[in-house]
Amino acid sequence: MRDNERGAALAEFVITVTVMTMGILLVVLAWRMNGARLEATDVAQSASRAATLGRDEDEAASRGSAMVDGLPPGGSAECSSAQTVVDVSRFQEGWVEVTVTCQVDFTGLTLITNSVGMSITESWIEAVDPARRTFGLAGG
Amino acid sequence: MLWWELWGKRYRAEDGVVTAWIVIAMPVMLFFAFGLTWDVGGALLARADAWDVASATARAGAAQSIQEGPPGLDSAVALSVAYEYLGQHPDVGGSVQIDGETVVVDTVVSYDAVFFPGLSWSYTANATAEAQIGIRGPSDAG
Repeated sequence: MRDNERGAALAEFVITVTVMTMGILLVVLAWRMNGARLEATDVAQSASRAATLGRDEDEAASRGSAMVDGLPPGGSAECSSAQTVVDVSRFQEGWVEVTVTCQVDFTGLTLITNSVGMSITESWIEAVDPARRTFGLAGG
Repeated sequence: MLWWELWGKRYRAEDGVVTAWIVIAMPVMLFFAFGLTWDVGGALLARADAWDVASATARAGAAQSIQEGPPGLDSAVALSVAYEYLGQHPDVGGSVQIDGETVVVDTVVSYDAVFFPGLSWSYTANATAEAQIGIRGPSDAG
């Protein structure tokens, strides 16, 4: 090794490790964002299906909300918190829509003390069984 | 020029080559790794969408029983509602068929890669739902 290369290996090692660590963090970040999208969709589907079992708008909305309360997000690995909107405005037309906004928290991932994250919104529409609207059948 | 002077000149010309390679190649690799994770995840979500929409469309159709008259699936309404449901998912294409009391749905979803232009995945899914007419108790379920 020549004199002017002294410390070159260390410098390259530091650069490589830093960049590699950033790479791993980025891959984990992408993975978690996809996981959050999947989870938000899953919750929206479950809630909208629960809402379709209601006999009227009020019961549909409460069934949808009750389903969300019993499920992640709201403290899961992917969604640190979530807002859910159960839209029953088209219930009489035969549709219920649930929108879930999931907050993905990257604070632990980036080792940054300030809260770092982003929100992901997914929605799902489900058809209401016309017999429930017509005859007021009780849901299961 | 003596050979060792030539050798030394060539050697000096490569100073910093490894560092430059790391600086250029590493961001490319990072971009590739992030993009691959993002796009493979997106493709898998699209695949899940194809199945979910197919199932939900079939269910929506199969729920349309005849309101007045002999019990059974109202084929015309079932077809209309199923297509209406399918139309509410603009990213998903598909077709609906009625076979007796059963609604058969085929869906297709395409996912265009965000980080790799030109790369695209297409997924198809099939779901069926059978209309259940009348009031059934737990003993009828099995």
